[in-house]
Amino acid sequence: MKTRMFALLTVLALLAAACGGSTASPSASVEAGKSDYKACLSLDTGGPADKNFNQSAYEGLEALKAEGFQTAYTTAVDDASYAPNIQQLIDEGCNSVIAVGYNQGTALQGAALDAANADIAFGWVDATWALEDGTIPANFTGIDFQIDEASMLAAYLAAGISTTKVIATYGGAPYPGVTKFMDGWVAGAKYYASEKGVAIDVLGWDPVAATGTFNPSTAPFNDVVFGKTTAEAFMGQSADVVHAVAGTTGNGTYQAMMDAGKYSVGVDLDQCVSLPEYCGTLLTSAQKNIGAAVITAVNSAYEGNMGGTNYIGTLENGGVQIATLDRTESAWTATFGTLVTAELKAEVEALKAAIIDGSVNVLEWAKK
Amino acid sequence: MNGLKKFGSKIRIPALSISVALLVGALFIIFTDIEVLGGLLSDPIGALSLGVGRAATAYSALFRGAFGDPENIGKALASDGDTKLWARALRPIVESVVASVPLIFVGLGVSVAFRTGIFNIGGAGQYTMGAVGGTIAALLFGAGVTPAPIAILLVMIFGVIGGAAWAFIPGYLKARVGASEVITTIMLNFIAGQFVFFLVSNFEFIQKPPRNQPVSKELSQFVDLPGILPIAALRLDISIIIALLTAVAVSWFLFRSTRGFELRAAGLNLAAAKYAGIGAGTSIITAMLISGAISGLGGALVAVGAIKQLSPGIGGSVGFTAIAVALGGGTRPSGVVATALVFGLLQHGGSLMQVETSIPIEMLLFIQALVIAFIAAPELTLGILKNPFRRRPRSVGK
Repeated sequence: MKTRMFALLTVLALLAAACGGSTASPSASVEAGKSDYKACLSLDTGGPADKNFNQSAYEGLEALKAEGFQTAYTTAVDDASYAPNIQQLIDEGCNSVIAVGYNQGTALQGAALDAANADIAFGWVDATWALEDGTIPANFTGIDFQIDEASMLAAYLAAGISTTKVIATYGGAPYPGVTKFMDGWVAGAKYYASEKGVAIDVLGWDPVAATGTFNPSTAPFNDVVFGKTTAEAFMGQSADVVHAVAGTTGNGTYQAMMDAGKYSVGVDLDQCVSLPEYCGTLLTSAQKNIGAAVITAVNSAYEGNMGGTNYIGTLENGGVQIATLDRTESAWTATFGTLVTAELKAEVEALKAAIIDGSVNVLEWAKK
Repeated sequence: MNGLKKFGSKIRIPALSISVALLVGALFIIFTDIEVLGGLLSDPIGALSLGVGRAATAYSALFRGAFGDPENIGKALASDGDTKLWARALRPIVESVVASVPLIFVGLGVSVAFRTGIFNIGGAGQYTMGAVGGTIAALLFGAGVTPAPIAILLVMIFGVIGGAAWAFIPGYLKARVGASEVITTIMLNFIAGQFVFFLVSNFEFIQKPPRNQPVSKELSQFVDLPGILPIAALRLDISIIIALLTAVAVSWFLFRSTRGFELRAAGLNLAAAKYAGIGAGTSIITAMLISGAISGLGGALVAVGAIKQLSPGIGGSVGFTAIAVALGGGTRPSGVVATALVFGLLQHGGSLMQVETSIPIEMLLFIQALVIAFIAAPELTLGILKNPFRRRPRSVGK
């Protein structure tokens, strides 16, 4: 018995020792410099396949790998993992370390301020360096999104196709990154109302009082049943377009709206692509192009621009957008082909231009 | 010699469990690899050897990530005391220990309850409320308001109070009205997380400026737990020493004190304990208070020391992993410390495994779960490693 155990342990130890340090990534026929540059992500607990935030960032990393960069990533187990994970990436020779999610801030800022890491470029997805923490280090890039600009466009569209002129939204939890979508939603409805002279009711969020509908469960972003019942409740109050800002919870909403022959607006990704089964109810999606932002941040660090600024994704720079209205998916065209008129599209384009040139201020409209 | 033999027989099952879990984990790595599966029909030998190679690379990273890279250790030894090289060489093992600290505290905490026959699933909530207490103490008394040692002491005391108070609720309900502690402790976990959310999003005193995120101020600006290693870049602070002292204290309490004997007696057979004159209600409340106090102490030290901030997710996976640690360690303090260290090694090693091979960190949670399953079922573990060709004495079906 005992000998067998020792033999087993020995084999394990040998196996482990035999293969130490064989990690070169086989990337042929790409820019030589890029294969010496390591781009790394410290993901939050969602991991690389959360169909959401972390996944968008991870897709950016995959694209960087295809460009020829070396890549690596870590996934947090809980709040205690952030600092060791970031340090792990630094120790593994990462030239660029991007952390996803506001929770990683303390750990990430600590690493960025450490003089030993001066030659590493740090990025922070979904948050910016706060001025209260001093000036932004020269090797730091905050990456945030003016997502209310995109959801304002989506709400304008929703108001345009709504027959009841009641549209609704709700959030997973009252995080600032969530309520920003909802602010834009209210702004778009109010703008439509004042342009057209018709009353639009918005359910689920009041930007002035900062109160609204949120999921009180412990898995607010992963609760399909809440998404379904909330959508049904909104429809009971005659809403016919619902914007769910709640990750996977929203899938329940899409299901309920589709069953009732009503409409929804997606979040974060072009959900008509990521959830094709709901394309028939998804008018559009308020998209954050997180992957594109990661690619931009790494490439600019690679070219020697280590940071020192915040990157804010806007309609103007393409960091945020609404999912295309020129779709060919038959499920989408069957529903929205006639609803989304050329006139409505033109109005949305005009609003987009107005937001970009500053003549329309989203937050002002939200709080009007 | 006898002592050695006794030690050997004690760690035999855990050691076997870890080995078998790693082996089963290796099979999973091999047979969930798309390339291996794809080649399995056309070139089974090539595919399998590819798979074995992948598993070996993964485990190599796991071990180097947990204990340290021999190459880096060699470089550090060859250097003339270069602290940067030494920091890099020692960081894996140090970080593994850091990762085990919360598990030691909460594992010890829930063990005391388990010994008293109370299934305290509220480790996460008690740890979280301890973190709340520690954070508030740091903000109130840190940053020079009181001398640093006193501030640290107050952080610990507030942590103990936070955890004990949170554990008192289910203890009291169980003792007085017979409410199942399984339900009440689990529910209080949720409430604790929401309570932190409420605190860090509504109070300027706690929330980090410019107050647009639900996290607390950075706590190291208020209280800095002193490190215990000569290299500043290695962040092992006094919490590990306090954790080990707590383990010694719990061991003394459970096995050497009258109170501890009463608690254990109540855990073994409540009716018999009552007959012997031990108050059941008092035992339950005492056990829960101690249990919560230990978890809370851990929460305070980890929030202020290792994490340096309070956020709603702080309880995270600690509570449930610690239950596994307590059961894996046989609810003995020495066993809890050892199991927590193994889990810390797996956790930190796992992050290097993910960096180098992109095998998801969930694989480690899977291995941890297997370790516990095998420890919980020693017959199964021994059975797997028995010689399959040896005739069993008992035959079935005749």
